[in-house]
Amino acid sequence: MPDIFSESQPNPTPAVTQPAASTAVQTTLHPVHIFTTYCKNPKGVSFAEQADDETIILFLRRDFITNVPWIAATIALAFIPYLIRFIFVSTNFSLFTLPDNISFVLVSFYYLIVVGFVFANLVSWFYNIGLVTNKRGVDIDFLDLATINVATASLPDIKDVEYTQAGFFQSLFDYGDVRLRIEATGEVFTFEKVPRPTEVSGVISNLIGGHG
Amino acid sequence: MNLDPSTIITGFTNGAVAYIKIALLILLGLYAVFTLMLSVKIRSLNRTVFLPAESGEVVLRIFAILYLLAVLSLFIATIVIV
Repeated sequence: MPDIFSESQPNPTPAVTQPAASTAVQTTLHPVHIFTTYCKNPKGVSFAEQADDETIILFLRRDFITNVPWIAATIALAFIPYLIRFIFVSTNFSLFTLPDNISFVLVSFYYLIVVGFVFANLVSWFYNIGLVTNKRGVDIDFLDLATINVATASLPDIKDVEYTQAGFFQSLFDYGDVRLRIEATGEVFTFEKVPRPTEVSGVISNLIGGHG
Repeated sequence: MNLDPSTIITGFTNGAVAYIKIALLILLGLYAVFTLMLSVKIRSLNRTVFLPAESGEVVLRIFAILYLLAVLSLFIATIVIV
């Protein structure tokens, strides 16, 4: 009786295929944290119109140092009531006296506005995101509290990439503007004040070269 | 008609407090609208770009809600205590 299944039978065609990883380039995904401003191959980031075969290569935000002016302003604003009180007490000067309950509400409202100022600036920075995928560049701008601007430029349409690092602080902290010039319309697509502009423009140039 | 100076001052103070209260309520109402707008924008941005939980997106969303609640609480406090 012939054996149908036998361990010793030679397998004419190998069932195990070679893993795809041996041929494809391995990319290490990097996590994105709250203060991340530059991340190559970000992990867990996607956007609404992302295609199935589209991968995000760069995740960009404005450099964190650009937040220093509003942080300094917040510290100054937080101390203004104390300063006014100190001046009034030390000079024995009083314009008018408000009841305690009104003073409480006014001071609370003032500090709510200060917290709101911090929050609005933080949200504005947090959601000003630039993404570079293997197909296009996406720039999400939270311009002010009433305007959201989402701009995309597909890589084959990008004519050239340039970056600008102007001024002392941009050179010191290594951040600047990366501009992508779109071929058909001549429009300029800008990633503003992003860290490591040299690397960013290099990555985009390589991607454009790959498409060309 | 007897016009006592202390009565005039008390009346004036009460009137001023009433005006301050109305002004505060209007400002707080407008500010509550601004805060609501901010939290709606955050929700809308979270639908545009999806960030991982550890990126702080959830923290911002929770903070937006807490901030709106704080503004509304101050609005109610102004009605009650002023």
